[in-house]
Amino acid sequence: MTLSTPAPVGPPTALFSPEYYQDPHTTLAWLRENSPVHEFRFPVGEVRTWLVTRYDDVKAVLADQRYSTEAGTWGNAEFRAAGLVAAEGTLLERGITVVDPPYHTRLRRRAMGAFTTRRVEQWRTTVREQVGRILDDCASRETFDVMDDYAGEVAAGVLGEILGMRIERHRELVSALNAAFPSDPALIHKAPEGFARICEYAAELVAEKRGRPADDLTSALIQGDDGVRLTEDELTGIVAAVIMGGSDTVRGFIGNAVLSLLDHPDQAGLLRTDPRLAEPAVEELLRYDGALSTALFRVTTEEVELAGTTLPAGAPVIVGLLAANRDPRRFERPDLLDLRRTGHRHVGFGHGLHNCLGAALARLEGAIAIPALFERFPELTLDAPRDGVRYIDNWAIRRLVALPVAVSAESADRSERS
Amino acid sequence: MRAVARIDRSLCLGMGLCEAMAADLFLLADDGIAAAQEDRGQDDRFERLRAIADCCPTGAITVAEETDSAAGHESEG
Ligand code: HEM
Ligand code: SF4
Repeated sequence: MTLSTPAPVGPPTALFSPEYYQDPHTTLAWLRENSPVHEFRFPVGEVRTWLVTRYDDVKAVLADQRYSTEAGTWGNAEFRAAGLVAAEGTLLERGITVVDPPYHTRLRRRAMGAFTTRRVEQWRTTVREQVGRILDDCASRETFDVMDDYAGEVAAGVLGEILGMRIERHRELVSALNAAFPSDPALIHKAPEGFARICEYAAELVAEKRGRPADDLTSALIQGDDGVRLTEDELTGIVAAVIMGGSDTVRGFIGNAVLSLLDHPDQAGLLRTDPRLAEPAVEELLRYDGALSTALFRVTTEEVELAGTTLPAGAPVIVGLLAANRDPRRFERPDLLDLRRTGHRHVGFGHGLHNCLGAALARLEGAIAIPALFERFPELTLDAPRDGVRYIDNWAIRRLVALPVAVSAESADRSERS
Repeated sequence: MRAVARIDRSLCLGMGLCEAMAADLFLLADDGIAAAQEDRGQDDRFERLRAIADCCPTGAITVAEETDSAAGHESEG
């Protein structure tokens, strides 16, 4: 171990600093080469934490049950004292994302069972309808914000529909989600309130569908076909996890994808002319700039060695999904966006036990919503200076604050003059 | 009777949940696709295989109980 001899040079920006959020790739590339299992102090509570940046190491951690998401059980005292245990004191404290097997299996089985191929296929129509309706709205405006007016609407609209929410709840859901995942770090103290409201809506939905089942995801989750009876809290937790896991991520991803394509007009052109590229494009766009910079915290259940570094028991470990997805050991010319890239398997949806439950839905939404925007507005342009497009200050979620666009250069000119 | 797991290679996306849940039952091969491990007469094999199949994000795993002991651990091509 070389803990006592500080490296002579450090990464270009401090981890999880405001500068880092605007350009994480440069720092992650440095770490991947110079300090692949990098010890640093997590900004909240100055907790000793390790960041893993190489593709193989990221996958190894995510595949290994000695790295647990159950931080309430395994996290060291420092970690817990800093308040870093997710959703502590709420119903989501024992939610699917933060529990180990065998309890994880109980929840995952039920949740996954509702995402059958047949059901996902049915959602195709739902996604198309939502996207069409929202595009009509955007068209009437000429200039709009991709994040709020398009991506956010698609993500919340689709979720509301497939869960079977009453339409009046849709608006409220958008506002609760905005509170739970704020763009402005100064509003982070309101996040628990947002989470609480989402749990309330989830509980209400479960109660409603328990009484009057319908052909929707919530009813399917309640029904189950595993012969196990889940408690109302468990069901509420699953519905809340679907809402939280499936909204800001999809919103963030669509935004990042649209920006990547605006930055690469040739690639946007390819996508517009070749519908067969829709699905591979989603994979490449997720690899290039996914919606989660990192997975959730893992903590070691015992002392482990990782790529030559010894991690003590209870150590917080963060795996860099963004970093792994640009590892030159795995991807040729990783900083190049190439929608025709084949044979890669990115980790944008995670890996192992907790890999994304909603990946099929996310892929469906991406493959419809991203090309549809460029199809409807072939002259779509950025309606802001490029360096004014900024990312939110968040270590795990990679999402733009806003992405102002105009449906054509003339519309952009008009909006500039007004 | 023996429990046999098959992996549909056209569906598996190598998400590694099966291996993470039970490395004695599944392994990711070099091509990144899962393969069922040889039956070593483990306890609760059928139940465990079923639980894992139900958790797989792509529905790539099917589990059956077979009397035939020949087709054991092979995954489908
Ligand atoms: C592009 C959009 C999405 C991205 C990039 C994404 C990414 C991820 C990642 C990386 C994980 C693993 C986290 C970890 O290991 O710590 C995950 C887990 C999860 N995701 Fe997604 N996700 C997306 C969309 C969705 C959607 C649409 C849903 C719901 C319908 C969803 C529900 C979940 C749930 C419930 C988990 C936890 C699974 C478990 O713990 O077993 N996600 N997601
Ligand atoms: S869990 Fe399913 S998709 Fe993932 S590696 Fe195993 S079989 Fe393949």
